[in-house]
Amino acid sequence: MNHDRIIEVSNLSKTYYSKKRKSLIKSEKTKVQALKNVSFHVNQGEIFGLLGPNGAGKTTLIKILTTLLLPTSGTVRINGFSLDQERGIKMSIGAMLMGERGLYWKLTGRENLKYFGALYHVPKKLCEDRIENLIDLLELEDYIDRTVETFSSGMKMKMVFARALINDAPILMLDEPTNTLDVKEARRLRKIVKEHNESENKTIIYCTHQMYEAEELCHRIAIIDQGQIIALDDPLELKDGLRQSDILSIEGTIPEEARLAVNSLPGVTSANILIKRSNNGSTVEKPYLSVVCEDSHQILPVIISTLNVKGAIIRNIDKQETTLEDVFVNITGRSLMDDTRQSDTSN
Amino acid sequence: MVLQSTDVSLNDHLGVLLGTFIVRVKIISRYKGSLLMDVLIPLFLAAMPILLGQAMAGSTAAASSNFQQNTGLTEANYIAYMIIGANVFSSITTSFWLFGLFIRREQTLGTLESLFMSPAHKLSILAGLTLYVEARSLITFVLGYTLGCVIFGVNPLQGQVLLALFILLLGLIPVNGLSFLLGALVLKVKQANTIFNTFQWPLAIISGIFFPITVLPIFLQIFAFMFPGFYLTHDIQAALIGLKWFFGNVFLDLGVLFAFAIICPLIGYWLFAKTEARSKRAEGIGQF
Ligand SMILES: Nc1ncnc2c1ncn2[C@@H]1O[C@H](COP(=O)(O)OP(=O)(O)O)[C@@H](O)[C@H]1O
Ligand SMILES: [Mg+2]
Repeated sequence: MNHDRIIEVSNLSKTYYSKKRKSLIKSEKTKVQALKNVSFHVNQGEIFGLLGPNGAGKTTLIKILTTLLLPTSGTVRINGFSLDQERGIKMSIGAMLMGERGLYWKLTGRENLKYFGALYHVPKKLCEDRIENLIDLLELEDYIDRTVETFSSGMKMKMVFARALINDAPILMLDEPTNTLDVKEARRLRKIVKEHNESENKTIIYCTHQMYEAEELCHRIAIIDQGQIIALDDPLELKDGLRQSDILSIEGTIPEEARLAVNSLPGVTSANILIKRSNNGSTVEKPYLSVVCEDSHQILPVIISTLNVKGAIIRNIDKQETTLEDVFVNITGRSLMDDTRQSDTSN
Repeated sequence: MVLQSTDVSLNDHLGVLLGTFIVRVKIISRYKGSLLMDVLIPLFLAAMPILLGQAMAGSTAAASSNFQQNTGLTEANYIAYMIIGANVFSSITTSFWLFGLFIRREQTLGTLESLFMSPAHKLSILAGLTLYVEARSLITFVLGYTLGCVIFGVNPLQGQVLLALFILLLGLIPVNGLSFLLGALVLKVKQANTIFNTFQWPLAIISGIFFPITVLPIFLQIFAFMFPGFYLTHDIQAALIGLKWFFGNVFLDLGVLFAFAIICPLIGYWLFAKTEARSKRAEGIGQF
């Protein structure tokens, strides 16, 4: 066994069974396969990204790794412990999941941290020192002694992050830790995560549906979709697969027929309608056609004339840098922003 | 980096126990008025049967003498009987719902998953909770009983007060143990409020708080005999106002409470652990 592999996950599957009410008396058992045969490993000291849209199975995976949930099948080894050695795993992990939830509202920030320190068996004096360090690190001094009920979302999020660090575990698992933070705070939190990894040599699993977060932070990224890992590599390698291609973004009114026509042009790898979100005051959603092709200079005139023939109205054409979003779209035909939660697969 | 050891010392367990106790005390102290209600509600609860008794019998004296035929109690002790009943019931309720309500509240806060993610032993957390509910019951019982006695003009210090308080603490342990069963039920059916509303009044009946159990139909008496809250109420009435010990003498009565105090938490915890394991295999304990 390789000692550098601090986390090893093999053939992990999880199926949820839930009852769906059909009427007052009738209910139907539904089955959701949240994870399908997932295998990967994480090296000691690495920031490992789990990138996937809503409903991909990221939280389910983290819940299994933190012993909150048992898998339907498969094995896990964390820091040398298997899933039936719960205490060992729990002592090895600091985790943040479920966003800003998981704090006692009637306690102050400091009282919360102290209690969780006790739950993780951190000696009292050491715990107090750590709390002081966390206050400095996360800039909590203004509100650490107020009850959590008076906190904003962002403050609660930072408190939950602080709670994950209180036991100074070798492994940190963060499930969408920047979800309710504003852009500036999110950037700061990512910086802290990076520093934590570099200076303390902590291993970090970072779940997100934001490709730029994964790209900015992670040494290696597993792209997860509908319970399966569909690609796993470092960000550069992932994008390298598309490096020889060009990506055009075409704005305008584009009928489905026109998209299909472009999609089947020789030299075009894929053509999908995606949504661009821009945020200036209020969120604006703009659909556009994203075309992955071999050589845009050569093929652009053909694309334009095809679109015209099929009744599309083109307003703007841009050539884009390759992003992880493009990698995802190219494999799945969907955007990372899509919600892929399954309510039902079969029954 | 492999951890040196995952052993947990006694000190660590005590840290969790005490930490949980302190957190509960802090939280309740920030719900102003809730402790006050613990003291006042039994007063209103006791007032009803006391006044009803007088109305039916024509006077306090007549009520007392009618009551005496059923219980052997003399004089105004029928009033003390009601005050004790109401206050013990208040403590029984707090203890009985303790764990079910705890699970429910922690689920909605999301702290249940944080607790289960930590390496703290569940028994240490439960011990902290139990310690809290015992302390809370002790304080509210002393205040509520004294206040009731003063208002209705009964001497609160006529019986063996310390023995009564000891019985309270001992007798609440099995009730706490039963509350683990309710915690399991909340994890399973996820309908905390329905469960509580369903159980509340039958609980009052079989605890025999306002009347001797012998006036109940036999099938309800059987339930009462299986419920430690009944012996708890009876024994405190015995210690404070001279009701006959249920099994003839104080040691037998205490022995029975003690046996319940061992058996109920074991059964309760066993069932809770089973339910927890099942929900971990299914959808996880935080789901509600
Ligand atoms: N407790 C549950 N019961 C039934 N289905 C669930 C439950 N939790 C999650 N799911 C389903 O499992 C899939 C994966 O969900 P999740 O792990 O939360 O994904 P992510 O964190 O990537 O958004 C989704 O289809 C979701 O609807
Ligand atoms: Mg999630």
